Amino acid sequence: MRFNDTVLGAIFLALAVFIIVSASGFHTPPGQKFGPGFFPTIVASVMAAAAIGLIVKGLVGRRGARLVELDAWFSQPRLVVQGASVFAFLLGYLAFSEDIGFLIVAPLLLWALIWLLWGHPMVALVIAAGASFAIHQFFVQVLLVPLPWGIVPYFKLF
Amino acid sequence: MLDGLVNTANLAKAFGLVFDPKTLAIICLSSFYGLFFGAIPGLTATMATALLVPVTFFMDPVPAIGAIIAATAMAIFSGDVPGVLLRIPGTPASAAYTDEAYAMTMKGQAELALGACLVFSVVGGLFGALALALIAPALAELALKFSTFEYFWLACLGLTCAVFVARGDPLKGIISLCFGLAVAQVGIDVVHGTPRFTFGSISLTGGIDLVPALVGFFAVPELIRNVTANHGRVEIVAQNIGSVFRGQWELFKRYPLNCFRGNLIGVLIGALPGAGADIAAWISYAVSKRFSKEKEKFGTGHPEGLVDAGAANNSALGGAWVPALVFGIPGDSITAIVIGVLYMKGMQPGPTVFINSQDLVYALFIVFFLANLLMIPFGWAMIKASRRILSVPREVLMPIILLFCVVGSFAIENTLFNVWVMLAMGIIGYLFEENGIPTAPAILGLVLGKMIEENFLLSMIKVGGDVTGLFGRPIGGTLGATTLAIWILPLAWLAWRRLGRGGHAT
Amino acid sequence: MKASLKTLIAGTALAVLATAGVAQAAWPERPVTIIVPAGAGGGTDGTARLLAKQLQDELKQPFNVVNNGQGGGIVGHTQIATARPDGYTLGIVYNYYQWKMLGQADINHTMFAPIAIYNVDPAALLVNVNSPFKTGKEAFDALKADASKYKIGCGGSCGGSWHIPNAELFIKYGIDPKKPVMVPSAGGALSNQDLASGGLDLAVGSLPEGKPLIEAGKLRPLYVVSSARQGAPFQDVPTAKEALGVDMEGGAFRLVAGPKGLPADIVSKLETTLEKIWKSEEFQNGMKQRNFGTKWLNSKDTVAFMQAHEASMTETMKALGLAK
Repeated sequence: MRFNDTVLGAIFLALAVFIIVSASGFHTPPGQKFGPGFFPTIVASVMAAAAIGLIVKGLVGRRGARLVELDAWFSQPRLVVQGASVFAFLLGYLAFSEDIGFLIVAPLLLWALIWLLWGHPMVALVIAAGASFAIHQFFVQVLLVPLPWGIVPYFKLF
Repeated sequence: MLDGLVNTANLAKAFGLVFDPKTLAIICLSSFYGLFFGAIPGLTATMATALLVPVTFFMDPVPAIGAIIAATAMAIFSGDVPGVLLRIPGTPASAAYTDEAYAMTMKGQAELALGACLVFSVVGGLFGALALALIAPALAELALKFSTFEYFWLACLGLTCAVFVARGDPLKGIISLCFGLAVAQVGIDVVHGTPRFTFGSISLTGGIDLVPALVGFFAVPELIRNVTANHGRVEIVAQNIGSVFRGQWELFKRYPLNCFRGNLIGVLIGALPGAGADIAAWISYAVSKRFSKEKEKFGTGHPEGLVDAGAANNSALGGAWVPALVFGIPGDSITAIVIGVLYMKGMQPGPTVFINSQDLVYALFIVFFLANLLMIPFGWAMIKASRRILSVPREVLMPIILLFCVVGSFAIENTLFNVWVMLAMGIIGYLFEENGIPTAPAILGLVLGKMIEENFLLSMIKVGGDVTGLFGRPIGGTLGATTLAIWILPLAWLAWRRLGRGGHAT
Repeated sequence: MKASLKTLIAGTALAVLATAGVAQAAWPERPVTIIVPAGAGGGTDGTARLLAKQLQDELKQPFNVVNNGQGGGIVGHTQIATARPDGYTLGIVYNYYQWKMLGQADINHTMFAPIAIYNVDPAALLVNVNSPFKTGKEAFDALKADASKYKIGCGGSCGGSWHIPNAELFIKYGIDPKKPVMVPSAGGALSNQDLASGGLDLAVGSLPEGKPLIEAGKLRPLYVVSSARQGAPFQDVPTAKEALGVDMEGGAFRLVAGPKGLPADIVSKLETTLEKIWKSEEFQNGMKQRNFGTKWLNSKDTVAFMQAHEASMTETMKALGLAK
């Protein structure tokens, strides 16, 4: 998604204004010249100045250009699905890993993603299951990272 | 302390401790562990160390410390490999020159890039080990004189690097830098204890963790680019990785100064608390570009910066051990963890450790040299294996890397919140790259944001808000003057040249 | 490409074929996570790992230490308090009430199921070896004369474990605790380093944290806020009573707790096991080796201790003008 410089500048200007407004609410302790709002204000002011520069540049340089340009792949449904699949994978993990457990959620997501991108569903299933299990064992048994078990009963191989 | 004399009895004992079969086995195993951790994006050298701690608790001192030294040295090198082949840095320390290295790959010079990463990592690592063994006490003595004033200027110098490393539209570079600085301000500020931009979330009070942010910024856009590429697959350019050592001697002969400069910057930055291999790489890459005769070639696949920065991040590892060992002050995030291990092993950091446990200190030095020498065969094997690993279809590899990114982000603090951070930063990183906003300044802002603000505010508390107080101490004043000179001189020079040119015209 | 794929498949198939049995028994029947709201390698982490190792030996299940030092410990404390009270997530709780007083996070004793206090470290006051102050009395008399001239490091956040007991001493000695320039930092090590570099006049902190620089001949401890002297190598550091004539105890504490609602049988099983561990030579030696103080309070006394901590924090923070 490519934005025109003017739009881009406006987005960052809005962010900078938000930071400055929030920072003005930070309480500076009595007797201090520089409080917690000082640095955010400086940083956001510089950001705002650069953003205004970008707006001007966009207005001068690319008059008549479209405000937002979609990438080429947005016109190909298959690529859109593939692009979205990365986010679906992450959101799926975030939503279900705690309650259902790594050992179920990770292989399923991995299987779906490999199948979608590569094909060969059966081989993909074996790879997904194997890779998830290997990662799980390495982190849980060797490095003692508490990956969520969810509904999977606890077990130990070695 | 050491009085220049080496106690041969203790040295012999130290060799015995290191070249014990069990110790050697542990060092080799942790080398593989480090190579693996470094090569997988999202798994960093710091994390490799943190996750080794529980394992080392049940080992003798020398194997425990050997395991950590070997793992971190290998991880910092190995982080370069996915940078060269996939344009995803394996660890933050490789981020500074990932674009450069990948550009070399695109030009068909993957061997040269990988070889340079390996050879100069080894050289840097050995230099770091030498510095640790020889000049440790003197260097730490200097670093110890640094107060908040000095650190403020040091952070300013670091930010100045952003100007040198940035490419493309300067306006967008400034926005990117400010964005990174703004993200660094999320959370409770250490100085005044005010929760900022947390929107009432407890997780956000802790701020944005660097590692998931980096993983998101680098890995997610790369993954999206891959899966949305028109022909479905982007082939790895370097299909044949031949002799990685070919051409390295020529490279060394061409850039001897760069190599030495990178080593030195690495050791110095490493020894300064709060700055580690990643910042050493950024600064030395920027220095390399600044003083290069072929500035215009930077960013187009030019090995010069790789020589500097590749050496710097490995020599920083040795440098970081200097204050850690001599004063118990960590030089970077890795040695912050190491200090705890040293305590547990009865090697309490401090000048006395050189007297009480001289054999163990010697053993530590020997492990440092050994690990970096082992890097030559192991790193070579790693590069060879990486080709095999990467010959797995990308459509299979990418999802697995994505899962690693998720698990790696989670494992930093064991919270799903960091996976959210990775996702959010991934989307932002993708939009940044699509719109030609450079990501490097944002990362630098994120790394240095807290350091610069904290040290400024603390200095102001100390001097009662008087800004000239920043120049009040000898070292701080010198650093400040240097920083201002770096800012002003190029402008003055530019103005002078313009005037001069104007004069010729009339 | 084909060969590598085959290897991959063969390997993964093997891994999948491996199966495992599920054990059934009383708590704990699977690994227990101990949340440490501090980074790996620090003091809290060290004591937690010492406990975890022995808990593992006693209860025959892994006790995994998990670090979360974000937000100066707030995030980790919240994680402990909001975990499922099933006995599989416990944590180390330390001085927490300043967050409530500073308006950062409402963390208090009612959110936890306290099990036992196992460690208390007294606060101390440190100076640079080049400082004109040779004793606590000299420093305090100078502060009493004009406190606003001096910059004091807080050894972490101001209003934290080390600052509060020292501020109480100031009040008892007749020094206005609001007068000196109090300088916060992101931890004791940084504060001590700043003191050694000459950036501060004094720093509150603890002896174990200051040890490397004290032994390096860079810093000098003036007193320790404890009613008895500390063990070697700090046997020469006077107590607050010897140095100033004010008998007081104060500093950092560490205790084991679970989330509120932890079943009573798990609490009592842990309490008994921890007491046995605390009394063991292995634990006592491990703590002594790293200069950590030991103190034992059972579950009931720990609750009372936490209430007292909250009351004294409220009072001192108000006197300091830090309460929000």
